[in-house]
Amino acid sequence: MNDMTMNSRLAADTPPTAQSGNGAPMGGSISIRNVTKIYDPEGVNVCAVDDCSMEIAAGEVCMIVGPSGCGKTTLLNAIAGFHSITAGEILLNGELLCGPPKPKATQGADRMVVFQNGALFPWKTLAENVAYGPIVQGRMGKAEAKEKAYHMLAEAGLGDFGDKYPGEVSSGMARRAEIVRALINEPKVLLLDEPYRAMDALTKSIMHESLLETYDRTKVTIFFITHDLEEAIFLGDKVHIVTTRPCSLKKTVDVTIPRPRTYESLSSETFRELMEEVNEAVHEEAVKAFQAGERELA
Amino acid sequence: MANVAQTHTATPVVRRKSKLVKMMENPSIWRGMLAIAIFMLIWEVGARFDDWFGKEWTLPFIGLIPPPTAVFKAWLEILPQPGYWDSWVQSFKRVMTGFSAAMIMGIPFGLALAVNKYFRDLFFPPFEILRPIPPLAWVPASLIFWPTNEMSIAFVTFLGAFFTIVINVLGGARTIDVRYLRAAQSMGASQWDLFSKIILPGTLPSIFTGAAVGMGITWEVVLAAEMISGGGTQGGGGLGFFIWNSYMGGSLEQVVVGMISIGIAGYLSSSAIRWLGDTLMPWRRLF
Repeated sequence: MNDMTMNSRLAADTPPTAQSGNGAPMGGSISIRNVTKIYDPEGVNVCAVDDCSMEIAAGEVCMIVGPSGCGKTTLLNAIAGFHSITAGEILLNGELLCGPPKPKATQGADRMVVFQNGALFPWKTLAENVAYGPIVQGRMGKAEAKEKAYHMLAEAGLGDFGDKYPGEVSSGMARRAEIVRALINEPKVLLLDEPYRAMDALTKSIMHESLLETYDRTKVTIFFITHDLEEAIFLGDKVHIVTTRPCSLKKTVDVTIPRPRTYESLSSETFRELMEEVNEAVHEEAVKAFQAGERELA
Repeated sequence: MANVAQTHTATPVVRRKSKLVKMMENPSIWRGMLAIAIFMLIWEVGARFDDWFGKEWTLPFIGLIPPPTAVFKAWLEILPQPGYWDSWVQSFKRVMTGFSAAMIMGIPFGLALAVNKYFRDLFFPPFEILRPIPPLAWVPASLIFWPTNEMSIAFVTFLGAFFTIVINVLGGARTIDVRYLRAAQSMGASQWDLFSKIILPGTLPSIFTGAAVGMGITWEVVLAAEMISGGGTQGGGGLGFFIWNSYMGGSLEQVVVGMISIGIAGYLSSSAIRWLGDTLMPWRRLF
């Protein structure tokens, strides 16, 4: 009980840190220039990304929408440094991440990934998970990192769950904790790969509110892959619609709905118009992807 | 402070009571007890058939083994004898020696195979050739190259658990979700952090699976080795020898006593492993 009151007082008294409160942009800009990725398993060339270019400004929420298996995740993996690219270049704040002469970006805490089905370490409690990054980087001592972790979890509404294992909390809480685990590393970019896939609509809407709240607080650049068009427009500053495999930019839709957004924005006229615009473009690609699938089977 | 202590001791007592009541109310428990009772009854009746109806009524198999009442009587007679308990101690000692040696060497070896490609390329092929050889096939060879019977038994026991543990550790470490490794690496984990904080805890469940299976094999091997090596001062004794000796002495009751003793010993060993696993992997208790 004492701990709780102390924590909340801490939250009120401490001056805003780099990523909480003062709105100073911590985000970084990403330039994807003519990126091509060809997978070459056993000599069969599969072109996953073909001459794809997009600009993501610092502090922008950039949503990537496209058919299943089109190569969106390949793009994300290239930014994160999990995979190499075949041609083109990717820059973070104007500095080369990957591209000639360096095909694969170095993995780093400036680009944190939140994975599709959640990747909290099951053998660590939520607080231990969050504290892991600063500890292994040697940026904080164990006690300090743990305290910061509890503090940030509390900010995300998970104050009472720091000592729980990921298996003990709901998938929604686990996903929020994972975003906290990413943010404690003060990344320039948050890379989210369909983080709310397979969640029910109710949980999803809570997740969206929580993410928007986090974004308003940190202004971190967000690179968000999704299949959910409503989600794309509701969260994004820009919606990039990509083509079916090989992936390249088909159309960019600017979302003009002002922030902060609430669920009332969903019923606005602008939202409906944007939805129609995005839907049309995506549907075209989905049909192409479907037909291509049929050809491959035939 | 005193109040806290009191409530802490008070709650489990209440809980324990309700647990017992719950257990007694659970129909599964009664079914299980009924099943054991029926099993004993059939065994008793089947084994005593020839006593009641004459020799021509001796039933196959079940008619040839002593009835449970006779086994129980024989057990009561043996219980106070130090020789019987000495058999327990000797077998347990051998199992623990072989098993701990297999764990101490098998876990690092399996992890090394999993994380280092060169190590795997070099050591996996010979390992795979040696692995299919049953531990008991090693008995003659180990009798030759180990100076004492006791060491031969320990070596054969060790082999029984070693291969199982290594295969499980290797499999477990190789199937750790790549996203955990990626997440950790992105956060700046060093190679040592990856190993100690991700690969090791991620492999623990497989280590304990290997340990549970390995423990079973160890008991098998120890018993067989004890039967082969016979009595005497060197490498003799143990529950395996107890059974063999009872068989040679014609006491079938004692043979069955020995068999049930091994069942209990095996159960105790696997319970110990389960308990250790639960203690070391608190996150697994949730499932």
